[in-house]
This record gives sequence, structure tokens and C-alpha cells, in this order.
Amino acid sequence: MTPDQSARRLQRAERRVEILEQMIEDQTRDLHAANRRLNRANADLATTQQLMPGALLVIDGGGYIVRANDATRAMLGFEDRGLDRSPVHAIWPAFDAPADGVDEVMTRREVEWRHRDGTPIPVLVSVSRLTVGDGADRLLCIGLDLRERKREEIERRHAQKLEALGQLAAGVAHEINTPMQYISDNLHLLQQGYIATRELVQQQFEPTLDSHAREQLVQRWRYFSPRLDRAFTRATEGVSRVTDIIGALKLFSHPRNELAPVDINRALQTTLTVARPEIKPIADVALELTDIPEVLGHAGDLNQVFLNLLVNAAHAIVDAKRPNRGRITVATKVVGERVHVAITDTGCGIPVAIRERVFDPFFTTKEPGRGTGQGLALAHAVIVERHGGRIRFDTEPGCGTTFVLELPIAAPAAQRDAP
Amino acid sequence: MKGIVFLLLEKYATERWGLEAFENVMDAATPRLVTRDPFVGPGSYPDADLVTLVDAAAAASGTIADDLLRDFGRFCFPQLLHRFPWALSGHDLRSFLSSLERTLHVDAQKLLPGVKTPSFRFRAEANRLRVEYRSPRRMCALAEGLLEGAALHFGARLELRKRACLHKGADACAWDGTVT
Repeated sequence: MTPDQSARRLQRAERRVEILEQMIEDQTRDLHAANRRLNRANADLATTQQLMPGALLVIDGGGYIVRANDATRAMLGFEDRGLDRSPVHAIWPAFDAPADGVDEVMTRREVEWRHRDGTPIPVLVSVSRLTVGDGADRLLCIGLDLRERKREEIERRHAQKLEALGQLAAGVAHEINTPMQYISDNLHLLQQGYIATRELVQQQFEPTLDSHAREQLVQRWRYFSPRLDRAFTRATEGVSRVTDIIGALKLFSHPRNELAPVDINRALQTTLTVARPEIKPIADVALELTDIPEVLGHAGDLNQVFLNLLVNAAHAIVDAKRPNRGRITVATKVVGERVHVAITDTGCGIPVAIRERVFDPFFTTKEPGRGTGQGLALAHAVIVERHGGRIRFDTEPGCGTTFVLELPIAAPAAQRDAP
Repeated sequence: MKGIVFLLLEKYATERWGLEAFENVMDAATPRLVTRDPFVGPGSYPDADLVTLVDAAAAASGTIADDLLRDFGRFCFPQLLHRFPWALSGHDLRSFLSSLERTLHVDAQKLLPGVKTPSFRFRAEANRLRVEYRSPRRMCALAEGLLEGAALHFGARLELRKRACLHKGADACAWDGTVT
């Protein structure tokens, strides 16, 4: 190396030292400012975590809780002491540590946590992996207490059912009134026939009657005799009709809520009996029910969904304002591992602009008093969430709509896996 | 390009050809360098300066520039990894490569402000490996050397066959490889 090269090398080294000193100074200033910003951000984050209404947990790789905010402690009954270093299984018995390399572990899944007193708490959780500086993995878990939402859901369902039954009550009263009318007429006829028969029998024991009076009794008896059988039959039919209506209403108002085999065809027929007053004045019903297996489900909820769809179909036919009667077709069939229920109407159809929103809660196009916007939202919740099925519709404005419900023949996964 | 690469090039040249040879390279390259100050590790410098230095070193050593860059890449891998020891723990070659984008490159961006890491895409199947490289620097020879350096580090033998190149109009450089 020449002396010049040595000198240049030395110069470069000295200049490097100067540059690095300046860089260190700049970096130190930047670091200080960054530290202040970080401390402020940390303080903001800690406050946010404590104030947020949802639960926040940080779980380490060994399954121990390393951080829990106030909302978590309040939800789980640990206000008086922290949850730090508690095993996560104490509050989340079914917690399963995720496989390595999975970043987004769980998104908006309903799980069960356990209150300190042992009460189960339904919680909607999202879990994500946090990779911290030292290379250790932690899980960040955000949980939303679903107890209030569940209570509201039950209340909403109840209110919706009451609303639907309220709408139908007047129609059912009318429906029952018709058979009661002819039961009454025929009972009156039976009573008259009985009196005529009794008088004829009496005269057999009191032969003082003259032949004219006797002939009148015989004529009366001949009049009533052929009518009595018919009166008995019609009165019995009337009673049977009323019994059917009352039976369907009872089934509707006292459903079994546990998971049980449901005969979908029978459930549809029962619901049609209840919905008949709503449908009968405006539409004919065609049943295309095929031989289908029973579905494991919640009969009461399914009846409610069928009723909502049938009443909607009737309303759509009214809204179409056609001069002739409409038609509602109810069809069932098996497709793969599912039972399909299709309810088709010749109503007004669903406009393109609102198709995306029909399953939204409280969305309705009906005038006040005719619908609360809960019918299709409830149908979606029952079919998709409670039964693991699908609900979809095909519609053509001005021609009609078909709602198709797809119900798994086996139990919904969430319930099948439950202990 | 971060200054660390320039310093590693100096170290590489000095170890390969000696101090005087490196100073000769500097003498030849300095008039064409954009940067007037000496390179320091944390600084960021024009990519063209690295190309100038590599061309000067290749000319001085009678080597093809791409071959020199490839050899420099093999040299660089253990030197660079020395700064990120946690990036290697628990890995073999395939898992290291597949985690490169979301671990090492992320850490590099935190520790070396302003660093522009290239984009790698790996697909491994049995002992076969497909690699794609994208970078506006188009230093595929350096990338290839780094991959070979990684293989050496993990005690694996990597044979790469190039089937597409940014320099020939492809949208990425692509290699088919076997790992043994």
C-alpha cells in the first residue's frame, strides 16, 4: 500500500468516526423523543385497555394469563384480585393452545368462559398471536360478554312470536267461528230431532192421541230422521276442525326447545294451519312435500321461521295488487346431506336495492304495525346459527320470490360437539 | 443500499485480495462514486455506488461481476446473520427461507431504518425448492449467493437452476432448486 493510500485510509477512518459520532448524537436525540412518544402511547394503551367494555387477556405460551383488564376481572368475578399467572383453563376450560405458525388463531367464535362461582358465560372471542421482542409468543384475546345479547335475543324472539300470534289471533277467531256456527246449527237441529223423536216415543205409551196428531208426529219424525245423521257428522267435523286449530296453536305457543328430531313436513302443515287465516283470503296453497328424513333441530324455532316466511309470502301477494288470487307453493326435498324447504309466492318480489339488507335486524319495508323487521333476521339466525344451515332467496320483482332453507339432516356441528 | 453492505464488501475484498488491492479498487472507483464521504454501517447510499465498487473489484480481480456478487452473497450471509441471531433459532433451511419475509426482513426494517429488503417467494415440495426474487436493484446474483450462503450455514447442499431473470424482461428472477 502506498503512503498516499495509507493517508487516505486514515482520513476515511477519521471521517467515519466523525460521521458515526454525529449519527449517535442524532440517534440519541431521536431515541429520547421516541421513548417519550412510546411512554405516552403505552399510557394511552393501558388506559384504553382498562376502559374498554370488552375483556382483554394476554396468554403466554404455557397457557398462563399474563394480563387481564378490569372488564375481564369484572366479568369473571375477580374484582378483588388479579388474574395474572392464573392458568387460562381456570376461566376458559376448553381453551386449546394453537399450533405454532398460525397467526390469526380465532376470529369471532363463540366460546364458554367460566365465572369464579362456576357459572358458564357465553363469550364472543377473537384471538391473535402477538410476537414480542424476545421471540416468545403470546396470545392476545378480546372477548365480548354475550349474556346480555342472549337475553335480548330471547326477549326479541318472544316479542316477535307474540307479534306474529297477535296478528293471527283475529284470523284464528274467525276461523274457529265458522265451524262453531255450523256446530251450533247442527246441535239445534239435533235438539229439534231429539224432541220430535221423544214425542213420538211418548205417544207410543199414551195412545190417547187422535190419528191426525199422530200423523203430524210421524211426519215430523220423517223430516228429522235423515237429517240427524248428517247433523251428527257435521257437528263432529266442526269439533274436529276446531280441535285441529287449537292443537296447532298449542304446539306453536309451547314449542319444545331442545334439539330433537323434527318432521319438517308435519311442521309445515301445522304452521299452514296456523297461517291459514292470513293466507286463505288471498292465495291458494300447493304442497309439494316429498318423503324426507327427520331433521335434528328446534321444532319451535323452525315453526316460527316457516310462519314468518308464509306470512311474508301472503303480504307479498297482497302488495302485488293483482286481480286474481295468488299462489304459495311449499316444497320439500332431500339434496345431499340436507333437507331443502322452498316457499314460493307469486307476490311482488324483492327490489334489487334492498336485497342485501333483507336479513338485517329491524329492516322492514312494511308499514308500522304490519312488521317489525325481525322476521327474516330471526329466520337467518335460526337457520344459519342455530341449525348450521343456509337460507337464500331467488326473486324477480313483479313475479314472486322463493326462499330456500337448507337444513342439515345431522345435528348442527356446535350442538353435536357439545358435551 | 445500507452502509453495512459496503463495509462487508470492504471486508470481503480485504480478506480475498488484501488491503492494498482493496485500496486500489477504491482509487479506481472513487471518481465515479456518488457518495463523497466514507461509508458507515447505519448510513444509506445509492445502489449505483455498490455497482461501481463491484465493477471496479471485478475488473481488478479479473472476475465477472455477477460471479463476484454471487461469491460476495455467500460471504455476506453469516456476516449479516450474526446481527440477527434469533432469526436462525429452531430453523432448518426450508423453514428459515419460508419465514424470511415475516421475521428477518421485518426485524431488519426495525433495526436498520430505511432498509429496502427485496421480496422473496419460496415454494418447497419434498427436496425441491422454487424461488422467486423481486427487487428494483435487480441484484439477482447477490440474492443467489445469499441463498447458497444460507444453505451452507444450515449444512445443506442447494443447487439452483435459473429459469427467469429480471435482466431478461421477466417480472421476477426465478430458480428451480434441489436441497440435499
